Amino acid sequence: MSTETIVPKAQTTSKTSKLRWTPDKALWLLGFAGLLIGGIGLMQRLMDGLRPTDLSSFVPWGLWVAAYEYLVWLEVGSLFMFTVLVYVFKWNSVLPGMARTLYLTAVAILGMALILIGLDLGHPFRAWHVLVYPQWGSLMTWMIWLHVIYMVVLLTKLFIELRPTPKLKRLGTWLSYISLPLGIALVVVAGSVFGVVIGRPTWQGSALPLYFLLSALVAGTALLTFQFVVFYSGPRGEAYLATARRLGQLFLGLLIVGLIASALGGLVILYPGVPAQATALQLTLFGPYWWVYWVFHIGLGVIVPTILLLTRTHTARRIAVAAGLFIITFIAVPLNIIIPPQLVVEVVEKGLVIAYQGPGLHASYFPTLSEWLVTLFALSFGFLVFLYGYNVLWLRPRAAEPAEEN
Amino acid sequence: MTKTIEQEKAIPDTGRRNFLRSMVGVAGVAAVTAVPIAKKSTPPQSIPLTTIQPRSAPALEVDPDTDVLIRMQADLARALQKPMNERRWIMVIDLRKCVGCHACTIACVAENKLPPGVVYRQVVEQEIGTYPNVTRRFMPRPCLHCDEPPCTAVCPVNATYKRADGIVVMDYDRCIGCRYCINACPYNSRYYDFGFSQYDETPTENEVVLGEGGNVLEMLPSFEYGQARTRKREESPIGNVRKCHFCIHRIDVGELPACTTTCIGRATYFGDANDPESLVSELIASPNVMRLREELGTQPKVYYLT
Repeated sequence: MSTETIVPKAQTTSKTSKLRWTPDKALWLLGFAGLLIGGIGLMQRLMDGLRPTDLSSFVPWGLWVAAYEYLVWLEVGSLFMFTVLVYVFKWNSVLPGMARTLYLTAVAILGMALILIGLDLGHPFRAWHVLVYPQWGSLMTWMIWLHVIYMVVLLTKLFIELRPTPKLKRLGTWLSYISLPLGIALVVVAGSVFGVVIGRPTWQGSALPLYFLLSALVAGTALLTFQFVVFYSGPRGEAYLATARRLGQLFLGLLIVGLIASALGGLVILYPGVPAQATALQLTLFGPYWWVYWVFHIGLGVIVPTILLLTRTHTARRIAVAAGLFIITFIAVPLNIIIPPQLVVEVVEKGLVIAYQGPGLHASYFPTLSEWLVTLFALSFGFLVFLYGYNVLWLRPRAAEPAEEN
Repeated sequence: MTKTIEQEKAIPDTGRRNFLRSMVGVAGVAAVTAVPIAKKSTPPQSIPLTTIQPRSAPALEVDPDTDVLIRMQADLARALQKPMNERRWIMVIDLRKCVGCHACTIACVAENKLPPGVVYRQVVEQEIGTYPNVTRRFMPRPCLHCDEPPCTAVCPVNATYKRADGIVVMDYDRCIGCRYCINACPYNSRYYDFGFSQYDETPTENEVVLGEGGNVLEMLPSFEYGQARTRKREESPIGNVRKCHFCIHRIDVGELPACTTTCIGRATYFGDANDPESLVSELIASPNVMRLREELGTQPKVYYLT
């Protein structure tokens, strides 16, 4: 994708360039191909409900719920870190220009998240019930409402970026401040949805809301770093490299904090070894899908990025690779938070699991092809939204500008 | 709260058309002025009986030596004379008598036309010891209808709630199928209806299931919650969470739950704990009574005699 100096689209388009094969066209093609292939899964989902999935009454939440949490972390985390750095800490003059592209990315991620969580519902077309018949005692109600409000704030900010007037820009600044507590609330409540569940002992407690917050900060910083390095449109001189390096350091610092926090939390569960809690963690570490944790999360998501960021000659590209690797592999974390604690039923309730056999009564889970296809559909949709915003609405980073005053 | 679901604004057909119609008004406005305009959602206190009307069963004279079913029937009839909020339905299961025949499970399937994958009346099996000193233990476990149910608190739309008589029920038309309550139940007593059919993978000819009587079970309506529901593709209760409801459609007309009447060992008892004369009140006063996972404070209304 081009990161050269911004030139209005009209000036670059000519009759000959329309026919020429460009990387942008390849990306559009990739997006539509994903949408088309993923559409097969979507059709299956709409026609056969959740039957094509590997979900069951013992493992009712799977890939789509995990992907939703992961996308919320990315969406909220990146905007939170950007807002804190630009509006609160008044970081350098290079970063603020990224606002448009970051908001666009967040909207694209939001689209993916809503598709996945919507299709995870047994009755997707009743999602509006949560708005009309909310039960405020349920944290899921709060999560959905907060996400809807966050969506409105986000879309408003994107609109302001498209039609900036002094008055609207002031509103945008205030919305940025509002988005900070709103974002924290959304992420923490999303974690609390699991934290209040006494039916799954590994989830229950105050740890998950905090882990969710920490995960959002690390993943958000990684996304911000990646986007800055890849999409920054100004001159790639000293200020650019210095900003990339500072972002990389911040990302590494948060990554280490997150690693220590999760290690401590894991040890607290593993040391007493109470089966209802420890089994989930043992499944994560040594179960049939051990490689999700050790290869994807620890190997490619933690060790390789850490090495890349610790080497002295870390160039901007190397920082982007580190952040990108982390972003891609971080999906392993919500998968491991959500799935193994549900599989524990096979150990602690073996008598129940063996008593009944049949569809929807298995205590195991691995996403089916159909689930992967629906996920591909959602990701492709978000990707196309991004491409549309980036290439058609021209929501590209602006050249350097100072942070907006209060 | 004494409002019925009919008095509340009924949730009409919840299909796509309705969804779109509703979203036009809701989506944008709700997000900004969300909290104040949202209608406070209260759980309906009773579900409309579209096909069955509750009636009071006549009081029965009971011989003390008669079958416990007759006595429980009399207890039930007496309880129905009282207002709903003065009843407290409980179930008592004598584990010493259960032989693991699963008759209760089958009766429940037949009564509620349950599809594969949905089990209201579980009988958990456990093998204890090593040969030759080995035995099997069976624990029938329906929904425990907790007095402090963790499942109802998490429902984002109040689709599951506790009735005035303590029975935890589902409102299929309101349920969005998020399955949060399944994870919240510490007893694994809730099941998701994926829409599987008893006749999946059964040979068919001209879309008719082969074999005499094929498709009959599928075509019969279920009378759960007093609503005659015929199973249709992707319509409730398909896509909903389902659970034992103590056969309220039977209780409300003076009949015992299906699992209770079919128990060959008379190991399952049902009745009103608020009635000191009832059989269940006598049974739970014995010293060998227990409930599951008392440490959680959920106050289950299913008691076990050990």
